Amino acid sequence: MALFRRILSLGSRARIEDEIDAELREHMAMCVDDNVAQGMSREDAERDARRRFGNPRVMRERVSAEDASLGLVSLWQDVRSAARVFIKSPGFSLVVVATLALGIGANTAIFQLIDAVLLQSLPVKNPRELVQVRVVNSDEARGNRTTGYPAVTNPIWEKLREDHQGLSGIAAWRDTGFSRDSGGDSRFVDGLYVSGGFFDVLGVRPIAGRVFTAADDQPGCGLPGAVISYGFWQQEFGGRPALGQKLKLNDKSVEIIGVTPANFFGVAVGNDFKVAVPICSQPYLEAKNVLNASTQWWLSIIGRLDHASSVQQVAAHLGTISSSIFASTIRADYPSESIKDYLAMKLTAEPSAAGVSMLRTTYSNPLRFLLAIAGVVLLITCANLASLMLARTTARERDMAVRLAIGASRWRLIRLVLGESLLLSIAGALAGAALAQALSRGLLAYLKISLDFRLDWRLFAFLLAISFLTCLLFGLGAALRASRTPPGAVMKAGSHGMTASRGRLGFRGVLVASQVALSLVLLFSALLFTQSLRKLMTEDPGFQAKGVLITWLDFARLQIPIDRRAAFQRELLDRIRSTSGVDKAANTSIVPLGGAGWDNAVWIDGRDSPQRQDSNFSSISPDYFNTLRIPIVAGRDFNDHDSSQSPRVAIVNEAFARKLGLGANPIGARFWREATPSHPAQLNEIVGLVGDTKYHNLRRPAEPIAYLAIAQDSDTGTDMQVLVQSRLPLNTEEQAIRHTLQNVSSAISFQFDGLQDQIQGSLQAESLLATLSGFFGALAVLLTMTGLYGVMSYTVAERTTEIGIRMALGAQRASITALILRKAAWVLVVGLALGACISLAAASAAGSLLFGLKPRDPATLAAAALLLTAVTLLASVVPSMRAANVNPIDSLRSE
Amino acid sequence: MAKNDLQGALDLLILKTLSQLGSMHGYGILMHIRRVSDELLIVEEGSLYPALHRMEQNGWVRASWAMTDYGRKAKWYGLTRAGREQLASREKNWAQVVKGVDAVLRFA
Repeated sequence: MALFRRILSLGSRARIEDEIDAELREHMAMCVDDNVAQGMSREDAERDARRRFGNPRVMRERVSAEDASLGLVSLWQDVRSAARVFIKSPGFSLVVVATLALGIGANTAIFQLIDAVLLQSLPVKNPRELVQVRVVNSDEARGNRTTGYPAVTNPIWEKLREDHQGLSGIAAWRDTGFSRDSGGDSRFVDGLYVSGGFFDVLGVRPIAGRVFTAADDQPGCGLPGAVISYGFWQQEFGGRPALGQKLKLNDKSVEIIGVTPANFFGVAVGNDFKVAVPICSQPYLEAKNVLNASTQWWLSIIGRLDHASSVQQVAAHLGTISSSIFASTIRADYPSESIKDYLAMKLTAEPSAAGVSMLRTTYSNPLRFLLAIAGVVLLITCANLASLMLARTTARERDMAVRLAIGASRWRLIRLVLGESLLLSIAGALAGAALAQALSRGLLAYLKISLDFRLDWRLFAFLLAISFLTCLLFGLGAALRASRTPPGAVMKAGSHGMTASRGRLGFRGVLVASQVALSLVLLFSALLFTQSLRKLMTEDPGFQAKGVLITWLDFARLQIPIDRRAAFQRELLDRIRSTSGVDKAANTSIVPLGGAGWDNAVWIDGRDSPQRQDSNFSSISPDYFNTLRIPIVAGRDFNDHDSSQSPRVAIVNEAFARKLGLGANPIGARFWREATPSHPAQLNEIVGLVGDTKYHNLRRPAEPIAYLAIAQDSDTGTDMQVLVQSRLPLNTEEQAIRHTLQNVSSAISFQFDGLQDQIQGSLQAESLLATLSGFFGALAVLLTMTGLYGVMSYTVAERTTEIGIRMALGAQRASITALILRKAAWVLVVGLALGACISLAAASAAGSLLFGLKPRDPATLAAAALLLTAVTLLASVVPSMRAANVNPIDSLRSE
Repeated sequence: MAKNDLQGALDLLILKTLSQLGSMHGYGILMHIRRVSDELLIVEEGSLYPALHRMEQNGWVRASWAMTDYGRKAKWYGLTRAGREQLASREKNWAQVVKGVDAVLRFA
């Protein structure tokens, strides 16, 4: 098996040469033997043999040259000779490798992110068996929903734990933050409340100690222990034994009982958990016990299918037991007028293999769009690569023809191109992989999320194959053509390539035109997203966020009795107000656009309660509207006379007045707020009307909001959110307030945030889309520019003689420039027309991601086309100038 | 006119030899051609081995190491199926060349 032997000896050229030597040596020996047999003396025989044999070294060279010409060994030599060629033309190789690196790198980075966010399953045992249980019509639920995940109340969870037919195990969890320190600037750790069976259901085994069992999760358990994540263990204990060590969580001491493996990040993709404690510890760690509340929707449910059941069966079973579960879990705290809705709710199950994810809901559409964009960039990369390779091999036709003329076989030439393509694509792919890692890291930092990112080898192989095939395909084109044309014809055709292709852009023109088309699509979408983001950023939320500092503070450690907390809060607020630099300050239960929400049903006094409407709420202190510069349209702000003893008052916004049909002057009207866990239905008198502001989300129009006086809240908590309007820079202001708070008590924990920053943070998906599509758009334009530049330079080089003749015959420089530019203009016009069609066809896909503008915005398309025209013309100006500077004499002499 | 230079003739001779002798080493091929042609055709080693190795690369012959009758280790070459096909087409081609050259020589 010659081939097999050669594969084995790949790279060990010496072995093959040894073998040839042996063969030739034996030949000599046989020759000598024959001579001796015919009666010659040994010396004569040897001399005769050597004479006939000739120079053994030359012979070996010739034999081994034949051998090398097809052996696999020589492929390596081809690569080496390709490397030599590239070192000689660094410009070309650099452009090809850079093109590949950008195309491959950008694609890999985006794909990795998408893979991690959208596709990757939980790092747990058989993730496909996992299901998530949730309430179908959860909008009907009344009360507090403090998580973005599908949630149920603890009483419902306890029922589910008793009856989970079709599931081999079921568990509940809730992500939360625990404060690590007791006072001052607080540090929070990402924590989890988990049911006893949580780790068991997920199949996560501890790498040290133990995880919770059902016995740990019993009512009144206190704080039986904490399970920490591998990351937290490394970070806090540097990998030293942590079992039995104490942690402080929300000022309570807890012992570490176990450590989870490194790849387990929790259930929610993107949120790394640090510390898990049992659900039964909640009343011990927090001021308010929510275990018995049927209005606290806070636990997410995950279950594992048993081998006999499907998700559909479990969902069907949950559907049938829903009514009994809801009937048995309703508590006296549930608003009576909403009980009917509560009883009508239904539970269902859905697959949850990839974990539940806020990231997924937030980023899924933007990421899909980005993936499509990255795919287009890959296409452009390939087109660019193709035209680069074409240009190169066309230029080398002569070289190839010469090789053919001196006896190289076609296959030899083809292999030469093969070696070059291999070298180029490997270099490009490696650079791309490195770039992808850097980009991925940058993306994660930009998104401020933690994800497990690894280079995806399947993807890498795919991209490598694509780039290799592109290089090869377009590299081969010219090699084949050269090998089919008689060498003489090529050499006669002169130094500027084949006569046949003179003056035409040919296939390369088609490639560049399609690059222009695709670039237009990318530029268009980049401009759409950037404009959309800009509109969102400049969208008036109805209040002034600039210069407003949010101070989160907690005084639970001071153990102030509930009846004195309101007074303490007022005192604290006054201290903050009197801090130097503070203009205005107000206390609020809801920071607008901060993600938190509170809604209740309301109805006008005297009307039937079935005519209820939904409204958002917020509890605020006096001066809130001043602090946020929200105009008071009519009536008054809250003041110190609004207290728990005085009649309940409310200030509403214009949207509220509109929605409840109160007309232009709602002052004096009274509305009911439905009963809540802590209060019976309440009647509020409207004392003020304020301008509309956004509540949940910048994208939504202003919604009805009713503001209640925080002083009239009877169950004042130990935490506050103070909005501070300051004329000083926020950092300076933070220092001042820190000082003030520490003067009051060192036991107060606090944390700062800029309101403006927080709002911008809520636009992360939009800004990711705008930034990355902008990046890709720029990349596409850059690639197209190099493509066009290459094509134009080639055309000029090819037509130097012709231009020389024209100039010798008296053509003006301007007309030569125009001659060349006309070519570029054609490519551009064809590309733009094609691109505009694709853009308009694809635009509707972007519709849902845009804010404040139509997906088929003609002005944006025109701007993109104009921008592209400008840069591509720029790319063709240099070659056309070069054409105009052709020296007629030189160009003719070189012919 | 088909490709039929001297190299082509050498290939033909080697292929034919191998088809007649079954399998042979380089020296044997050389001696066989010399003997059969009554010393009219003397193939040089310098042409023979490159040709053999080229034919091996083309897949016309297959090589393996074996002992000679005199107890020497030698590289033996044998025809492959592709080699046989090659031989057939070369023989046909050669016959035409001979006919053509002959016709030119006989022109009077």
